[in-house]
Amino acid sequence: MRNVRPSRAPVGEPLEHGFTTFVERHERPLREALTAAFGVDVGRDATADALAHAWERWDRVADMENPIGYLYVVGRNRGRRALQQRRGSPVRYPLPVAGATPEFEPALAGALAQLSERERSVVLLVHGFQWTMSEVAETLDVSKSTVQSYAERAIAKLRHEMRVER
Amino acid sequence: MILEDQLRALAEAAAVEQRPVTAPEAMERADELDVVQFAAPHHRWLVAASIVLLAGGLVVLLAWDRAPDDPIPVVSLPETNPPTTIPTTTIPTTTIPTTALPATTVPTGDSSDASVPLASDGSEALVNEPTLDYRDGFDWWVPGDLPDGWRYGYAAHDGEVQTVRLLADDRTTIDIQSGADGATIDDLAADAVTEELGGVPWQVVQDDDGIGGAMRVIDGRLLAVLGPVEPARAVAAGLELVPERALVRPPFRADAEPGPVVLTIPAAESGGEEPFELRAHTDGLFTTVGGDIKRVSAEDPLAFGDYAYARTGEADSYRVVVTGVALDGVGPISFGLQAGDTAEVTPSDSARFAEDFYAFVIDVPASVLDEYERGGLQRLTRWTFTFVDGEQRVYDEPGSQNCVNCGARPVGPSEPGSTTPDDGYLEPIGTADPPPLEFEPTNVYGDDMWWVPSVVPDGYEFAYALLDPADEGDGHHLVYLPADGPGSRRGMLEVAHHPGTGHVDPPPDAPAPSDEVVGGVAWMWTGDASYGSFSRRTNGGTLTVSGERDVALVVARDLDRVPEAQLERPPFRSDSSKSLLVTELSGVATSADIARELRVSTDGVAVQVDGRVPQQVRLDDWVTFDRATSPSSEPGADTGVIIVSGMTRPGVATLEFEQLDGQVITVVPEDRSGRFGIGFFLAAIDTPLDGLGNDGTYASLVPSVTARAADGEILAVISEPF
Repeated sequence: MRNVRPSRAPVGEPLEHGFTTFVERHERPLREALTAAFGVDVGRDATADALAHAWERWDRVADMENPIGYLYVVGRNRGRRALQQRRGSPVRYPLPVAGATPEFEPALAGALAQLSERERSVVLLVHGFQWTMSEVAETLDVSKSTVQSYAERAIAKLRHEMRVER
Repeated sequence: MILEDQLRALAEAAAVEQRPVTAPEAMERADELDVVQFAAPHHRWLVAASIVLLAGGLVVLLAWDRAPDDPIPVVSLPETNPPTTIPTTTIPTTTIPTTALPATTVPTGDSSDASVPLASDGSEALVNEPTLDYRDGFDWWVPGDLPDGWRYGYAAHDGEVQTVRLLADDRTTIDIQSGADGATIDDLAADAVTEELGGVPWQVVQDDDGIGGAMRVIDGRLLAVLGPVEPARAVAAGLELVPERALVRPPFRADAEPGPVVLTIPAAESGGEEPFELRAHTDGLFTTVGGDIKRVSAEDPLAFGDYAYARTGEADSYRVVVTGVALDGVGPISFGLQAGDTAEVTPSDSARFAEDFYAFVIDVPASVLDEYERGGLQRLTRWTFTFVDGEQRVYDEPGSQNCVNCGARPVGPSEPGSTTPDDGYLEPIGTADPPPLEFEPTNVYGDDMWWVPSVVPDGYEFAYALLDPADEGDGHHLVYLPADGPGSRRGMLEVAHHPGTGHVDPPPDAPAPSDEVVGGVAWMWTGDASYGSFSRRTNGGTLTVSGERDVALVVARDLDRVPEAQLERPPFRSDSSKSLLVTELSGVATSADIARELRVSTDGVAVQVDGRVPQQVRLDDWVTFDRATSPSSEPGADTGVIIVSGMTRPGVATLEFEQLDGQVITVVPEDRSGRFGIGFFLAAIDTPLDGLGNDGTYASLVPSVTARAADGEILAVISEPF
């Protein structure tokens, strides 16, 4: 990897300020997408790695029309590598807070981890983080019908796994 | 508790648990990554090299400071950029070892002990030091001014012909050629029109697309400006003759000293009598690989060089050597033969240029290559390049640069969606008009009575009916889907009736249900303000209407009970006598309990595979995957097999499943029943068992599936369907 520093910035705008604005705008959807795929720990780390990657190539990323799609691919690769290095350790999602009235069943986290990466990505983005099908399709670089298909399949699997009717 | 609500609650919990990533944290992490990179021995020499260059390389630094796409004036910097000549004897070569190499694998050479600095100019492209030299006694025709949208490319001196190439952003080119074959103008003279450009008469020709050029003869040598005619006219009108040293960079020339060796494949590996040596040289922005001038840019980070092949000793196969140049950081690259052989190669650091170079060798049966050369095969090979960032490009032939999927799929290393199809003459994948579907219902109506909406709600349409066997009799499901398509934000609507009382009790931790009177009847609502289900007891069981609350409310208010024959289409039913055998699995030798046949039924619109949830074969998908089973294996085995099933649209002749081990399984979709207008497939995919489980070690058990037409045309490439 080259030790490259950004060479361009919007006219009249410091580099760091432009990047800060970028992060404020795009960090949350990127983190949600990677969290859906890799869980809370690896998902956040992958987000940080992807944004670090963006800073290293800020002169390119700043001009992109769909930086989240690009950075999602970067983060996804980091996430996969991280999971490979953690063999045996499942994708971790939150559990209900002990003592409080659970808003979701404790078995849900484990059932999500049973799904494929794309199934859990889609089902959590659509039903969890309330993304539109179009937003998911654009970020994951698949068609909306594919998103729909994965969402339906994932819901069916979760229902089966958790033995719920709906 | 409704599952979708649970997912939303879990997502909210995740957001609470996580700390957002801030810009300072990302910048700090980037610095940490750099420290890690430079701590590696492979990069220590690079730091030293940078210091040397900072101390003495003013000229080089000037070149670094230039953005890669900035215009490169051909004539404006005379004598300020003298060529840098580095004796080739000091340039280390990268040798690919032969030991333990299968014919299709070429590992990266280790160049960490290189003594010649590799520049890090920060630009996407490319090369930092011209290796050619100026020569006295040659003059060049160059534009006085560039038309809008055009920039300078490179100069090349190929025997008698001198070429200055101009570039446009849409990859159009204008060549200013001096010394071209004089016969050209004679051939075109009949169609040429004499025009005065810049005060001089030119012969101008153009075709229907506006491509052509302006030509004239000077001192017995043909001067031609070839390309889009309009800008070519402007260029021709302002041409100036300058000495070669006025060019900002020396030209490539055919008779120049060969460039340094950047990669070597030993003779034993390349199949030749001599080691295969890849030589390259550069003019500062463009590189020659195997004699072809290439430029690698962010939009096109990979460029083929040349390829050659030689018959092996046994004479039953050819050993093909493919070379290329890749942007620094691209790779590893995997590739495969049409027949399914695959390998992986990582572009190697040449220690001289900012680009990396790669070469791989692969054996091709002589019969296949002979047939290809006789024109009997449209395509010899399929090369699938998977980049480190996940982008996958499919080329049907090395050297053609004919990326068959680049026009349809956003690409990874550059911005998704930003790539222009290379040549544009192939249709992007998936854009061919899909053929019609021809379903024939195989179910029949029975005698059951069904609860149905008196009126289908606005915005919904009937999807399918399903008879679901239960302990106390068949459950009835009527499913309606939003009419605005798969991307709709509205959920499906379902009217279900189950015998017995087991479905009226909500889960113990669900929100407390509320009793409501709807249409004069007492119902129980379970759900939130927007989504849930109304339930009530009936004489024979439990009736449930699930969906968006406002829609479910309208439906629950006005339900009818009708004979099954009044349903729009017959229901799917779990009765093997009502389904048809469409394909069987063959060639899998295992005692594991796996599905070996596929049975389907249809109501004429949706298709149900082996009793599972019905699916519609959508118009925009060539392949609809039904399911992949969990791996089955022999006791004590390291590998198992998963069974993948699904449907294909008419026109799909083969499906190629890429396995995790790189092997490709080819399956022919079929319909043995002869009743449907679509194909069905049942494929057995080998998969390793280690690392399987819940840890997500393998992101997908099937990296990709390629659907092809009978003539080999790629219809779709689906990444990670499972």
